[in-house]
Amino acid sequence: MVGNPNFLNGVPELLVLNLLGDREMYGYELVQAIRSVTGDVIVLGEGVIYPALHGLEADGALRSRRQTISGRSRIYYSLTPRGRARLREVTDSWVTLTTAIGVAVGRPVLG
Amino acid sequence: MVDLLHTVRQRLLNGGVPRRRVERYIAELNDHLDDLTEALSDGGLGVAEARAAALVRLGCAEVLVESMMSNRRLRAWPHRVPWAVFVVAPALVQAAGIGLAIGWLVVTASAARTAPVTLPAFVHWGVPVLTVAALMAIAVRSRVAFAWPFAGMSLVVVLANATQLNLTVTSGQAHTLALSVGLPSIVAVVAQGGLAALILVLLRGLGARTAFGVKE
Repeated sequence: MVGNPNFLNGVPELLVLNLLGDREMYGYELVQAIRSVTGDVIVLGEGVIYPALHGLEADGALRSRRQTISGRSRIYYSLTPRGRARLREVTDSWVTLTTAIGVAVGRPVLG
Repeated sequence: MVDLLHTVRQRLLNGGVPRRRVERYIAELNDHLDDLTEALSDGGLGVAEARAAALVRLGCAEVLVESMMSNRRLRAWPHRVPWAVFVVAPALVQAAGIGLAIGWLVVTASAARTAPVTLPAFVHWGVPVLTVAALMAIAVRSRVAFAWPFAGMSLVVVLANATQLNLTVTSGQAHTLALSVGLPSIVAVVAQGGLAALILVLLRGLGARTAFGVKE
């Protein structure tokens, strides 16, 4: 399990954009989804998701709206077209990077 | 929990994050704590235990503050570019004021007048004092260190008192518009500076009690 309260550089953005590409979510939901899809490998100080979301929204990659569901009001985030383009870029960069590292250490990272 | 969120809120406000963004962040953290506490409680923990565990998982104040502060895009403009807000912008306002004053002098020139026409005192004093008041209000609200607002205030006061506009109407259609720049009157600088300082003291006092800021 990798715990980094300062948010692993670049990794959270990729995960956040990828998960929000499927459906809109609010912060708590997103954090639990990150834990789930990574098999608890990536565990982060949960509160730090919000500055990351605010930053992506300030960049135009996300949009937010307040929704009340089952009597609870939450701010939901979703991808914008710019966010989808950014997801493609970040994913491509990540694949290139991990492939290069795999070659360097003599082990393929992506099969 | 109240102490954690209060600490985070105060440090972010003092660090130059806009109030609206801070309040949204705190509200989201609060909701997150509630959700996490409920989930942990459903998992078998007692309410108090669940709350304590949720606080640990949320993160400590340093981490929560640093993750917001480390992103410059999320900070208010007076903190991001204080030189532009407190020095360049007021200088441009003063220059625009001089331009408007020239226009006013030309428009009000009358062939029947022969005495020199100068700007009314309320313009000569009002524009810089209002500019300084605006600077101080921004500084108090955004909790900027005093150095930049003081530099801007000094620049405004000196510029306002170093420039004199006079329009002399001669006979017939001839007018002479003179814009002179010289050493500012020490008395005027001190008087306007004192007035600006008084405004700052009043605003800081108000800021401790109203939406301008939270009393520390």
